[in-house]
Amino acid sequence: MPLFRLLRASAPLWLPPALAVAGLLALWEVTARAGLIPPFLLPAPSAVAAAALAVPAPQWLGHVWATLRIVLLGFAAAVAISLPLAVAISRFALFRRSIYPILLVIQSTPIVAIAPILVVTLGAGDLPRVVITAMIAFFPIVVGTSTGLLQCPDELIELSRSLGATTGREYRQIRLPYALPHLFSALRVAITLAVIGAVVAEFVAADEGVGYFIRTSTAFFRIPLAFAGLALLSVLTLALFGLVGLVQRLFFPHSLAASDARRSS
Amino acid sequence: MACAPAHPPGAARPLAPPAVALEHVSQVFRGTGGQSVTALRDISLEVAAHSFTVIVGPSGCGKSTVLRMVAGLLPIRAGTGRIFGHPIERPRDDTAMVFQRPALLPWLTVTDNLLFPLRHRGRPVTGADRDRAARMLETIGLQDFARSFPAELSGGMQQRVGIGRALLGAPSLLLMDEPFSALDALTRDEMSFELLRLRERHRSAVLFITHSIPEAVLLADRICVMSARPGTIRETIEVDLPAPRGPQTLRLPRFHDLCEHLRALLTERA
Repeated sequence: MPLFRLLRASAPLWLPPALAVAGLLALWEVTARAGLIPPFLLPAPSAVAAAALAVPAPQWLGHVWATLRIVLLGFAAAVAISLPLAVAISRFALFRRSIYPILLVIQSTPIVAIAPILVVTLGAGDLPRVVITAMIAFFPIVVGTSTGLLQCPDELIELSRSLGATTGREYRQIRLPYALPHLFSALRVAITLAVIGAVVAEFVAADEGVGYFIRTSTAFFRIPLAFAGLALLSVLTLALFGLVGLVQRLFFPHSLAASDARRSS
Repeated sequence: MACAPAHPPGAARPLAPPAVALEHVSQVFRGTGGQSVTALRDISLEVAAHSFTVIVGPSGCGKSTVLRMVAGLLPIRAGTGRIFGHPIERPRDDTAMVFQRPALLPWLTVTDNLLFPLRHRGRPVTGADRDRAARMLETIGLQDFARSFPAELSGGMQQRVGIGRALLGAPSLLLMDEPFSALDALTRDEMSFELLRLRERHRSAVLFITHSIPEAVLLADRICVMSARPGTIRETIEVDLPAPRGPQTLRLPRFHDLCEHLRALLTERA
């Protein structure tokens, strides 16, 4: 297999996944054109692209911005709630034991089931959508961060105690930096969940946003448009996922090296 | 930092108080089933200022517990403990610790790791501190690694940073908890010689925990031999090997006699 060997040896890192995606799209296009699947069930990628281009760009941007705003607000709220919670969970065993069942109940309740209730309770506007987004995104951050805080090696904690440091300094200078790799893994999971949360919220109650756009498109049986919205959501998710990684690389470069070192040792 | 504080008023002490003085210290742990386990029984030991004392004993004899009590990390509930005449209440600024593992912060450079105790105590790091850190790096032979991260160093180099960090504050008392036990045998010997060399410059008192008999004999002015269950001091040996100690010490017949004596003490119980 000389092609595979060539790919392994000299191809840039992005090439194999790009080829895989292109191959899948080509297969899809061929299947759709051959008439194996009716176009109203699965439109060809070319039809989706055509439908997407038919929608004016400002209209797209309006929907994307509406969704992005909810995602970012919900994600920020999730981080703001999760970090103090994770610190408290790692610090107080009693609190950890009491709060975990509650967190699990919140996490295991289907977000789709709570969403309509929250909309009724919190009324129209951004608030219910932000709350729904935060609810689905906070759990991995709490679990990941508290795990990182608790996994700090005993000898580092003992060093801190032997230096007579306060708990605040122990957290700021030792535990939190140590937990950064865990925190960022959790943030990557959480940002993808936040997109899901925002779309679910838009399905329930919204008059703009990509989720709203997909729902109305399907309601009018404009399947290619719905697929276009779906593709846009994927791009949005990938971009946000990459952004979290970029923030880590720019501001906390050592948290990457640390996780690499830990993995290799 | 002065190591000998003024005598407590009224105390008739002709000499400076010892670096460490434990008297009749015991420790009982409550087991999970409610029964109590005597971890330490009636430990008394003294570390003279500027002297090197080694506690040697089998695993689980409580020697690390003794060190933690002296460090102020574990409260002394029965008996008394003093450092330079002061009751041990909490970790002291004139005492530094070296741990079994290097305990370096992976996200800080070697230099910043040396300076970490200052930062962690909330003191500003001055240019003079940075100069002292640079000199310490030369002393421990790591001047080329000032900007390296711990993961880029070998185990022995990491532990040298750990020792350098402890010595940078010029402690009057250095507590070392099996600092070389995680290193391979060759590095271990090398580190012992290095520690002896460092001690010529930094004359702090040392309390050193180990389960290695040759290491104890090579380093110590005085050895406290502990036995387990309950942890007690079985015998205290003054080591009369000539100074300066170094690789040549290992060839002295007296060195081997002392090692044999220790080995007999440590095994006859079993």
